[in-house]
Amino acid sequence: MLQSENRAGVAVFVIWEPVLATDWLRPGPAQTSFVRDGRATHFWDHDHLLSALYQAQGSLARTEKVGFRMKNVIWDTALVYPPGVKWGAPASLMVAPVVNYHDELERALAER
Amino acid sequence: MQPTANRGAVVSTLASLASLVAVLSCCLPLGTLLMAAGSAGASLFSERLRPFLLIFSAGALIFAFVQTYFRRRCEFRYRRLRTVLLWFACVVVVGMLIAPGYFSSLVAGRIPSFRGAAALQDFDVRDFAGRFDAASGATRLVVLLSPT
Repeated sequence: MLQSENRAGVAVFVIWEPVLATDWLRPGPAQTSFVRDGRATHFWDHDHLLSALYQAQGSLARTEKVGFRMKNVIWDTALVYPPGVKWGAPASLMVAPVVNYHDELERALAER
Repeated sequence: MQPTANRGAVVSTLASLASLVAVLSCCLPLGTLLMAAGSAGASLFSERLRPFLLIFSAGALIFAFVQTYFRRRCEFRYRRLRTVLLWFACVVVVGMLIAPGYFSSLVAGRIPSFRGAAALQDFDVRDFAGRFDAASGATRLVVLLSPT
């Protein structure tokens, strides 16, 4: 999806966090190769800090499309914030799981 | 990730069916080790079942090792094939336990990369919020993912 969205003006923040039983090791830098995009900044959020912030925030986006039930951690989720929005404001779109909402994400990223 | 899931589903279904046939044809170690591989393969796509399937895989594998190397249950003509399959299943299960990300890349037909595309930084709320706001002239995509 990011490959087809080549235009400038998109910043990507990828937050890796332990969710599954197999996430018992801190991933190495090679983990970033799964999202190979020059605009991406990668974080390892071992303590689910961002997830906790989002849960405290309540409504995360104007449009939320969540296809599975999350328990304590927000994961496999993408949020799109339009230009001008500051941290803490709701996103324009939230989708989960990411793979199921490819078209919606593309449309949201294309909007200015 | 979808192709990985589809392929993993086919592989593990075939492995499970093969294990059933093997068990029914009275070659228990072969059935057990295929069951181990099938469970490990299924755990690639079934997140909720993953811990249980991996535990089951490890248990089945230990059972298969005992049957093969200590009890010597099966007839000799099966032994070479069984040993190869046993070690194959061992690689599958251990690979899934130690490096599930790399292993699922291989199942998807992609050579896993051992070089990072970027730095992986420890998450800090202030740093993140600062970077987020600094990029406020752009559309921002925030993605939260599990490494495996």
